[in-house]
Amino acid sequence: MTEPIIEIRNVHKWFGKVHALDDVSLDVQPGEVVIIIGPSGSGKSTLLRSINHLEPVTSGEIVVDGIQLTNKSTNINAVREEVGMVFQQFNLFPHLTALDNITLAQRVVRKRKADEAAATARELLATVGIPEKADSFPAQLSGGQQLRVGIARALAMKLYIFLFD
Amino acid sequence: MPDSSPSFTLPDPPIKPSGFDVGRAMWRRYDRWWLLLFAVIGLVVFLVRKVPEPYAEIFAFVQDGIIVTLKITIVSFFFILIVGMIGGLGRVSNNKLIHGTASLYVEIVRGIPVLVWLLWIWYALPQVRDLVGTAIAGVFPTVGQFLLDIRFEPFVAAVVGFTVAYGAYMTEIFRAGIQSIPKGQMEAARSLGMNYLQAMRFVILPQAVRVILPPLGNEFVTLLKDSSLVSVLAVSDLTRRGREYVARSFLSFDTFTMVAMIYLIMTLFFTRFFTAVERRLSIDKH
Repeated sequence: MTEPIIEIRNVHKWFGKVHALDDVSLDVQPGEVVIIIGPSGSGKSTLLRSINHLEPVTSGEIVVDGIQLTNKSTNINAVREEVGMVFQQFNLFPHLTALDNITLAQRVVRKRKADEAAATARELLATVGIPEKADSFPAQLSGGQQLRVGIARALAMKLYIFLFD
Repeated sequence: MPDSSPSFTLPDPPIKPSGFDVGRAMWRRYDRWWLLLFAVIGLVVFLVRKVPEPYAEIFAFVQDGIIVTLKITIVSFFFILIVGMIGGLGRVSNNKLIHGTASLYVEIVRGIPVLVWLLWIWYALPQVRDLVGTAIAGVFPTVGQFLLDIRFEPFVAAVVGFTVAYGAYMTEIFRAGIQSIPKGQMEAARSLGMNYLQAMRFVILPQAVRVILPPLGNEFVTLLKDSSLVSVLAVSDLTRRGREYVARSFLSFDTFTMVAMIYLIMTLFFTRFFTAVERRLSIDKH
């Protein structure tokens, strides 16, 4: 059996008096697709958000690709660069076109050249089925189209862990 | 037999607009306040042309004051924007020391009138320089002498004073702008691997600047008017030039009316200018 790429051990998360995550443990193998199902407010989003440290957990440990997230000295950015996330609310950047939404992190984080990043972005927009919306702003897109841009934006980083909230 | 038809009636369908009123829309697109600006400019031109005694003379006398006023305002505003941005970032920082320093700066500076700041920097700061310079010269002669040799120009003192005073207001404007951007934006940027400063620079600040453009323009116009306070520092701005002309001609009404109209032209123009920039940069492209 291969090493799990995500290991979650006995994680607890408290929001004030709300016990959002109660002793959660989970292993995810490379190539595995895990779906978390539960009623509203049961902590699905909190668990996903804790995997890329948007929500620090109260206790327990999370290891992503061998990197200990719950250790204070860990460089969280190193993990975030490996974990793509698509948000419930999409969280597209409203001041940028669909194309620039996808190229920004490629240029800033991955240091790719502008034309290279744009080529990747156009390819991905075609993959998600909205190649004609490259120059539209998020406010000009429908909810479904915004979601597709959000997915393309995460895919552009060429990662192997994706979180879909 | 009871009435079987439903007891409620459907509301009337909304009346469709019969046609787009193009002329009206065009009129709306052009900011009508431009007319007021042109009216005031027209009045000044009229007075200078038709009543050259004394208006052309007054205008000729105060015109270099206009340049000084604009220079102080624009140069100060440039530094105020830098201080405001750094201060605003400090105010939203999670680092207690940075947050505390920025907050202390704002609280102290906001509580002191701009005029007092100008007077303090012009009259009191040189004494601080002499005191500190002499003390340091006892230990490090070169460093101390360097400090003692610093000479303030009135213009520089004015710019420093405005930057310190207005920087605090600008800090609060930037803080409000940054905090108005939804949390999800920072999260999205961070989840894409950007660090805090990259997220600020590429995602948060570009949006925040669009939000704060109205108060930014407002601050600029307020600063333009407050720049008249520099007349206490012997800077020959528009107001001081006006007073000088009154002192030699005793034409108070004509001179100060002219000065007031020139200020009005500048403030109206810059208000229009910022409104135009705001429209251009608007991100609500529906």
